[in-house]
Amino acid sequence: MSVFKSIASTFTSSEVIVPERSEDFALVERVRAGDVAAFDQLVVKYRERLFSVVYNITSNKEDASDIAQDAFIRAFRSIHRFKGNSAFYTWIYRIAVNTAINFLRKNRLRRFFSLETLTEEVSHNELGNILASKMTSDKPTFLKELQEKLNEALQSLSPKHRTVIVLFEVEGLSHQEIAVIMKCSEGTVRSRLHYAKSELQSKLKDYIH
Amino acid sequence: MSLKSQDQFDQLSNLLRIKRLEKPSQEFWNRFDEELKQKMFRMAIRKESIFKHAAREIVAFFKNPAISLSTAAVFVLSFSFYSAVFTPLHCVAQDDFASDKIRKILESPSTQKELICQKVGVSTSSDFFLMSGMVLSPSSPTISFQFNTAY
Repeated sequence: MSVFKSIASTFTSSEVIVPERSEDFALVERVRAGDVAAFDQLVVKYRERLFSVVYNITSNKEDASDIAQDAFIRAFRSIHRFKGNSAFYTWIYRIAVNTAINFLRKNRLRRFFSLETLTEEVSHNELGNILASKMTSDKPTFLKELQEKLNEALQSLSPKHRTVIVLFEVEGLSHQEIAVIMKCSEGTVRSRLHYAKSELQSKLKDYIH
Repeated sequence: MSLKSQDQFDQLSNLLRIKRLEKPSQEFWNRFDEELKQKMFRMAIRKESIFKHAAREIVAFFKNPAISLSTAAVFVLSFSFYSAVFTPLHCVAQDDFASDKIRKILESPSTQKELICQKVGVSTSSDFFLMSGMVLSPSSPTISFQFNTAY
């Protein structure tokens, strides 16, 4: 249990940045007025998070790159439809999630996984050391194995359950934000989350004590 | 939910947060930006078909409520004007010269109808009836002239 408390402490709540709506609205207004450079700013601001969501849904970095780019292009083409009722990032997340789910539907049979490498950060942080010390294999091998197991477990879920778990656990979004992105009720989000967690728990039981 | 399963869910949450450490390199982002720019450029220069472009322009034009309302008003006025001036044949007075001629044609045998249609210059008799009965009235100078010469 102490292992996981330590892990939790390595991820502070400040890592989940809450974007400022007004700043995004100002950029959106500039894009609408024809300032393409303002869109570049939005891309730089959200590309990592958008890529992360799509990558964790697809488990393929090449596909994730293409899908994230397509999502930005779609957002650019339909930016006049953005009414500002929700935050810009929930709007663009919705586009990315829909694009990713459509992609998975079309390419149901073509499934190749290409994993992103863990950052150097993991070598220096407590998390890697603690988890690796529990295993018999050496640390890089263990981390690689864990990475593969996590992706395998995520891929065993349906796209909708996977999306909910990625948005909640990896991206740190709230139930309400996920409900807006997935156009469903908060109750549905909670139910999907519970089901997905139960499934993952059984798949990853070797790592959970 | 039992305390044990809640604890396991918490452990799972912490495990899944490892996914946050999977981050691409700066080189990847440079390539990503470059590819995105190329795609956006291609999108910008891609030619739209004439019909698609026209449809988009029309939709954009009529999105303005003032324009759509005024256009609707013009249509209503035009239709009213058209109805008042170009009255259909069956409403024309009995003593109208061309109306009598058309009535005679309509009542005549089919071979004669075709002959008249040929002289008037329309391809089939159905075209002719459509013209005479629904669209144009005998008061149209062109048709009156054609009738005078044909019949």
